[in-house]
Amino acid sequence: MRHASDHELLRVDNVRKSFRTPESGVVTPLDGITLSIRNNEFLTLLGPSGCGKTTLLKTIAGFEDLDEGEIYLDGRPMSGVPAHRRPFNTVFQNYALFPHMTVAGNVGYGLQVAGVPRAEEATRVADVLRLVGLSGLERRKPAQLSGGQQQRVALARALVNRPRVLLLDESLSALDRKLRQSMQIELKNLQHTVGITFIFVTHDQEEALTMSDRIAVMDKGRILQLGTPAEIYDQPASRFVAGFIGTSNIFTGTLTQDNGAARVQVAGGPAIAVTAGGFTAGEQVDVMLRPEHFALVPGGNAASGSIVAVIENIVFVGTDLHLHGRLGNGMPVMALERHARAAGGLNLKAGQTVTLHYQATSPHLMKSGAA
Amino acid sequence: MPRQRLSPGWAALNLYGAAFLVFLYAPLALITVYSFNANAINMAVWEGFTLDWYRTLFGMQPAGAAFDAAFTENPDRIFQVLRNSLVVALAASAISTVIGTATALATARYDFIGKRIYQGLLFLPMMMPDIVLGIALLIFFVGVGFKLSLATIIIGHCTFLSSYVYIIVAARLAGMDNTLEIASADLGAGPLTTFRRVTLPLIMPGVIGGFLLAFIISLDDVVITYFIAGVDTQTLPLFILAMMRRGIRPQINALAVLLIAFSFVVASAGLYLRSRKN
Repeated sequence: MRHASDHELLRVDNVRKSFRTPESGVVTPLDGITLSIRNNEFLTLLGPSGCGKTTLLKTIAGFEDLDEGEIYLDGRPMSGVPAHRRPFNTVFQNYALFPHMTVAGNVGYGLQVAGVPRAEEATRVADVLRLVGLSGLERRKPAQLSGGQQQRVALARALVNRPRVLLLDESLSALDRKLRQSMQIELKNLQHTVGITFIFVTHDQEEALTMSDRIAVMDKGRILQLGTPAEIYDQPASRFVAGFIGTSNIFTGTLTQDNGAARVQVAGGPAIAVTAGGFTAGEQVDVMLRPEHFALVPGGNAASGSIVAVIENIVFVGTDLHLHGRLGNGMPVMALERHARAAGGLNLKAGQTVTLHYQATSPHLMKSGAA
Repeated sequence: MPRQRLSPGWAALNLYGAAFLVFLYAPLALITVYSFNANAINMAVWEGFTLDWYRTLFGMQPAGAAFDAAFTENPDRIFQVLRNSLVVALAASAISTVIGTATALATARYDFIGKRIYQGLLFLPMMMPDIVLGIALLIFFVGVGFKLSLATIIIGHCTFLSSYVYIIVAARLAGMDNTLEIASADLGAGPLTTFRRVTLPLIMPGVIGGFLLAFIISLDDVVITYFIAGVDTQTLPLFILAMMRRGIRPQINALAVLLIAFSFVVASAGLYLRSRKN
């Protein structure tokens, strides 16, 4: 197993790209992106569709040119290097397997093109097929494989060339949920085994949290936040990131300081006890509380460190109950309760008034109105 | 079609289908029967089975009767016109296949100014009445001082055959996922390798289908060829036309049947290749 090092492998330096749409508008999928990608790390570009993540991947691969900026591999500029001369390989969203070639033909293609001797090609193809668990299917055509198997062929076809960077474009999204979850773990293990830098593009936050060493959250051609999954989840930089990753309750209010006790006064709503770090009194802030931050007590007993809500809806999802409620001022709030605990005596019902307690360290403050 | 008991409506439709096939193929069947009829004077009256007309066609049997003037003049004539036709058809369809395929690739893979107009213009030679195209080509060749020969027939045929090939290959390309070409580049293949190993194999059924269609069309073209053929460069259809002027001979039936058989084989091969999955 090899771990991510601090050595910078790939550097994306202030890249820009925009193009005209047929409706004569201009879209800017890359609006000044700078990113340093480390050796052997699993980096995920996460964002809603149209945020520029796929375009960024394509410009790294060399399928699309940049308007401005530069991409460096080990300090060497990549513009002017066509896609077929870049030591990167891609796993495409639709896999893009050659339908007229067998599995072995698909996987061996890159080696054949590179002029690798036949005997070595055969060994490496056999090795990589064993690695992805497809031994014995060498003679099949792609059309004779299941979706999961095709996905593995696409992965093997890219990995066999030992690329410096493996680019994965929404590579798991075509698989069904069960298969996707097992592939997530496999892919992460595989990345450790082969020691290759992976850049993974997805719009699925769960996928990003599961697999990544670091996540870059993107929107409108910019990187909003770059960090480990825990950093992104616990300390989102903005309302957008908080809303995109996981489920959250976000309230906007004014920060007040009273004898060292910091609160966020939500307009027409509760005051939320917070830890003010980095913010000054009087500032407009967004405060985030994750549903799992709440400990639920029946009855309405507002005190510091709690808010009172009325349950409107209870959604059973297996291990947990999702409780959708409203505060006194009508704001929606969501809390999480273990099914086992709820069944054990809480006896929750819609219409019930409950108090949601939280630790003063739980609320996370963000600059209000930040993108 | 629901596999129920045949209602009168379905029966009528089936009958109609059968009748349509008879309508299409009865003349061809008739000419085939005639070609084996020993009656040389009135071919509508069956007199017995013979292969004489096929034999005389290829000079294997001296044409005895006086009405075989066309052959007695020069028994090798048929081979010469057949050779002319094959040379023209092979050359014209080969050239058209290259032009048509290249054009289809260009319009499928690149955007350029006036692309729509360009694509529209590509259809025009097919829509144009043959006689107009024939006259236009003749005027052109004479105008620029081209001596009418096999070469002018080949050039003339290429003008409209390229369109046919273009349409067939373009349809094939439209069904091809172009991320396959990107994937090939991603795996280190340059543009030429990508074309040779990915694009061409995938569009090959279309290319061969286009070639065969062009071949058949060229082989039996009369109208355009009539205008642009030189005096000593007769093709098979023109030869048959000339024979017809002296009345319908049994040999024409035999020749027609051979042409039908040949076209049938080529067209079937083309259809098979087009329908075949990768």
